[in-house]
Amino acid sequence: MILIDLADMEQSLLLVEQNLEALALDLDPKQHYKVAFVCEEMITNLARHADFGERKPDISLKLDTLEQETLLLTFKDNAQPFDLLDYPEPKIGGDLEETALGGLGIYLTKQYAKNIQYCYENNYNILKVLL
Amino acid sequence: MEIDHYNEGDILIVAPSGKLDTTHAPDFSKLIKKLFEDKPKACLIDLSNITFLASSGLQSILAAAKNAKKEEMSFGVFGMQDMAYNVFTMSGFNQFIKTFDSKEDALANLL
Repeated sequence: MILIDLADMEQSLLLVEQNLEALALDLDPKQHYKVAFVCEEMITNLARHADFGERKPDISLKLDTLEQETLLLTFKDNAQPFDLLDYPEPKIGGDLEETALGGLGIYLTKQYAKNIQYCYENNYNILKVLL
Repeated sequence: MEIDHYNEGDILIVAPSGKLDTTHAPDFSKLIKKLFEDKPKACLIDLSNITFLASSGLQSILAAAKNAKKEEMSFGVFGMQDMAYNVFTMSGFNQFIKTFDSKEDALANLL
């Protein structure tokens, strides 16, 4: 399990990358990219938007290899409930002016994932992303 | 992250390398903003050495494209590797940002 420190995003993302390399050295480069991408997007999202209120942020990520090229990423955090499955999709394929700056990370995560499950349990958001 | 920049005739070429992600995108945006102060006629972003493109990187490219449009400057990108291209096209960015395979292609067709 990797503990994520939002105060040091660069170090946290490096830690994810190191764990990923240790776990799946023979992962297909495209699959590797998708896993790194989803980790980056989900952790960035927490750093930018999550509301922890009075709580000390407690964020973790677990990487599990399933059969063959499949990985299960489990993100857990104690921020206010946030279900990205309910998050509205950005407008894709509009013109330059219409394209907004937000929501692309979540949109692409949904596109890349084979399955996403979300629940809120014991004051923790639990997000499982199957890649 | 290293960011190279140079001119080919009237065209400013900016070539970041490594990861265009949350950590590095702000440096890229800052440099673009500074380079645009000289009001180049056109700008191309060379993405051939970008090994990882995240949504924060996309946002920095989008901000550059919007800034270029405001300044009436031609703008495009070229040379993306497979997965960066996948991220770029799945986000629909190729529909409003001129996207070229190579530098030669970009220089011949941007203006």
